Amino acid sequence: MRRSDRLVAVAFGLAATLLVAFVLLPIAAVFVRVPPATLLSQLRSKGALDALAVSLKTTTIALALILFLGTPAAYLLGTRSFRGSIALETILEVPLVLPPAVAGIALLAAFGRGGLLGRPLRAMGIEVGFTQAAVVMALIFVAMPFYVRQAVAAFGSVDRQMLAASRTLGAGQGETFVRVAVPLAAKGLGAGAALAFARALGEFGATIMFAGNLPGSTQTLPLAIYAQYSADNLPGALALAALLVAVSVGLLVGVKLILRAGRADKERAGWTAFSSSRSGIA
Amino acid sequence: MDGVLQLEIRHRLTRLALDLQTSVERETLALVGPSGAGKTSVLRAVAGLLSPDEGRIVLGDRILLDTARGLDLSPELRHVGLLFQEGALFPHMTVAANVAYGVRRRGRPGSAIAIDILERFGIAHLARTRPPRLSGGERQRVALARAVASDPQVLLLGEPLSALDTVTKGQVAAELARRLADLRLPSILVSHDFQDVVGLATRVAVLEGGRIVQEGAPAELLQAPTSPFVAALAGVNYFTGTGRRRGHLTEVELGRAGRTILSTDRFEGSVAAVVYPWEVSVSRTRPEGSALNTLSGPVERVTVVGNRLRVTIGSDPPIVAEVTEESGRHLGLGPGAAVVATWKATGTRLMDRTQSAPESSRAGEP
Repeated sequence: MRRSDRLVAVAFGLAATLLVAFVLLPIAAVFVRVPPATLLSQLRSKGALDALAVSLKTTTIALALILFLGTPAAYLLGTRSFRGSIALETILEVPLVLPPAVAGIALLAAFGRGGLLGRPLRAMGIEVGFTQAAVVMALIFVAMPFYVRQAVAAFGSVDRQMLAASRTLGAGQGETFVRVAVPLAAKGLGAGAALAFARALGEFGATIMFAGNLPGSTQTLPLAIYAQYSADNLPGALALAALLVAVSVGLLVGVKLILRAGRADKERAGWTAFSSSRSGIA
Repeated sequence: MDGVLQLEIRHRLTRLALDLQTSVERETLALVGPSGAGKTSVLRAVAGLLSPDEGRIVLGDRILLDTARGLDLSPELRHVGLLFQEGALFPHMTVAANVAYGVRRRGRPGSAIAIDILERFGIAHLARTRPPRLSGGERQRVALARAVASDPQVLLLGEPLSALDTVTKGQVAAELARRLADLRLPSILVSHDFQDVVGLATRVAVLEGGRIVQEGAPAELLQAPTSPFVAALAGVNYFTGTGRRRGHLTEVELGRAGRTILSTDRFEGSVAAVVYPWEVSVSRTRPEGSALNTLSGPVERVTVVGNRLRVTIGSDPPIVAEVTEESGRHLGLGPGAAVVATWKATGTRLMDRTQSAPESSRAGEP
């Protein structure tokens, strides 16, 4: 019995080790394959800087819109159950299971030149296909569920008594949302926002279908990696990849820390030492 | 009729139909009943957190709910103070911020008003503390302070004592009784435990299956329960009288032929005295010792509660004692047996019954 137990433990450990190695090896290769000096010089090229600027701008705008629209929507879904609430939640999760290429072609079919809304939009002088606006839309489409799912769960676990207490103390729906629900769900919202940001930053398929790959306009970092690789510039592609690895892993670690801090906070609630050192009221 | 709360609620819940009608003056009405009797739904309906199928709730000259006219005021417009079992204090705010949250008056800043109220409630030292660090009793005090700061016209208290341990419970109950008397607001208190509310409420309504089965002063319910259900819920001794200091004790004159009982609690004036049956011992002859209160009379009734006996003694006033089965057998307790009930002065718990406490009485509060 004992011997077989040990055997099972070794097998499980081996499986874990294999997987970890399988993930770590390519990531390490990004940094090892090309000398650091070359990586840095490649990053200073105009193409790389342009792609970085486009990525940061579109991802930030997309995230802002996701937070602005996703937070109230998640509050509604997380704190209330009404006819069709489960259907609504499911619809908002669809982009999670949709292949990015499908998302891209779907967006094109809806908002593109000859698309469903493309014609009326064009009549109004608005054209979204292959513009930076299209990048932002593609990012919102694929990254939004990462935030909304987490936010629905976070609002769902807010103690309903807190919300009721706020209402009876004279705060309306809006004030209760801003002053009680959002602060109490802040940890989950932060984690969701970071996940959505990471997903948007890495978006490739939907963007290239819907927004194209125009340097300085719609070419984001992942698209630039592809462009460099296609142009046989492996060091350039690897340099951009290294940059994305650093940012993405940083975000992931950040999320883990936020969520862990949330748990620890609930256990010890040790904030007074900090807050009493400031000059507060009384 | 100013400030009077009138309610009429009919509402189908999953397991019972709530159907009740009552009104509350500037007093504390306790809704008592087992869990699932619909008590909390009544509070939620008054607070506006639940919309009853049918009903009418009037507070002073304001109509909070009138289903016949399609009127249902939002919770934030009702001016209702709701206290939850564990306080429902906002954990991300300091005590001071919690109390200031509900201040909606114009003119002075909320934080200044909050400080005043914290001082009045003897918790100014907790102003910068966060709720997770508070004890159960402190939490209740802050919750009440927060509700009061929002200037409510009615107070609703959901199981304010049941989350507390027995030691804290007594202290919090006494303090709560005093504060409720001070505030002079119509209040509804909900509890599954009659003994928790007996010193707090001026009137008790027993709720069974969504309906009020008996309503009256705590003493009335205790002395004349109209159903075994109410009798089972009650079951503490409750006396009223006038307290007077006598040395380090308080002598309470019960208003019956000069009958007095003694207590170590300090209260003067109109008081309610609660004596728990398990603190009353029964003997055949007058014992000697530190037990200072005695009442004698014939045994009227003996009922078995678990492994103990509840002995109702026809003294003046009548008293209920709880003894072990063994000692009951040893004493030969049966209807008609002449016995003496005794309890210590520490066993008499006094509570203020005056409706408006003078300002000076606040000085000595912790």
